[in-house]
Amino acid sequence: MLLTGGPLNSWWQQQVRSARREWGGGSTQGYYVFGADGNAVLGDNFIPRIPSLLDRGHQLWRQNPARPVGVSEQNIRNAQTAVAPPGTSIIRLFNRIRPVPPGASEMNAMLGRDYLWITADEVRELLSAGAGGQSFAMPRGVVARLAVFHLVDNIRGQVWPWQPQSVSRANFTARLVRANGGARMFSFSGDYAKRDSRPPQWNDRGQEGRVEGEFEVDVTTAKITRFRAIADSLAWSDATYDRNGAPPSGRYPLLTAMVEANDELAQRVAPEPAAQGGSFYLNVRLAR
Amino acid sequence: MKRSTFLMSWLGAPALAQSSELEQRIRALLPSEAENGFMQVPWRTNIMEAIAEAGRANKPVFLWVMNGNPLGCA
Repeated sequence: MLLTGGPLNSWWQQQVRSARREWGGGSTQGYYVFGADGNAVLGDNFIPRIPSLLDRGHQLWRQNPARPVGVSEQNIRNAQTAVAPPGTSIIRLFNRIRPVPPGASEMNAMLGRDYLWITADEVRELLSAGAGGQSFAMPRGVVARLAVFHLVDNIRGQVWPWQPQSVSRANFTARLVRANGGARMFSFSGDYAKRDSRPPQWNDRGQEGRVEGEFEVDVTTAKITRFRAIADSLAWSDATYDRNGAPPSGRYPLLTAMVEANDELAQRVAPEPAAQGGSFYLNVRLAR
Repeated sequence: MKRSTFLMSWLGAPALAQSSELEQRIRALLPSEAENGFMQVPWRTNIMEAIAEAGRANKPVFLWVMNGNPLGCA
């Protein structure tokens, strides 16, 4: 759900202004209490104060009797997250720095999460390319999404986006390893590298690594029923913009685990780069 | 079906051997129970649907906002 930069933007700014008197623009991240009349009554952005925020918010809510709330179908559509195209397979990703280098900010011990979409057309492409048992290049869209959007250091928070032209290497190949009735199991692997610079936010940021994994496809539905992969990389960044904590100094180990996500939550939460629309996310391609 | 049998005997064993190690490495990176504790809350993902539902139930709404979806992104 996108609160800023989309159709909810002016409504949301108004809610923040009324809930957080001290807010002077900028980020609206934080915690808010809404009354049953549909308006925000309180907001804050400090985790230790959440219990008192809830208590105070509850008091304010009691003081403002509920009124009928007019929420139109258009309001609901405006608040909806980008939805995956029908038949899309969804993969859940988890990023960690392991081990966290000595002396690094404790924020580097946190967990990064995201989702990868693989379309039914891309799965059909895999089935077709692998039918003979030979190695073949993974679909370009899948490779680009992994290299640009997902094999990233999002441990301390949202990533300053990478660009396709920053990726110098992303060669991922797959191979059919087993066929069993209507199921096909593939293995895949590949190397990737990227590097960029955006002064004054950072002068040198990069990542080099290798991904290995396997996945099973149901031929009839062109859906991935099982996905297991891990990316093992070295990353570096001299970024100073992140107030939550700097990345470790020097090169540090960054790991990404990937598993299939067939639950209902995975259908409701779009990949972070798709929040403003799935088309941009799905159509990204590497230049080479 | 003939091709299936052929591929299984030709390539199946190495893939299965790799699979066990892969599973272990992945498991070591998955969220702990504590890291997934907040997922036990039945969060709504559409603020307008939540406001409408709260209005019907006469309840307040607690909203968590961050850069990146709290339920799945950074």
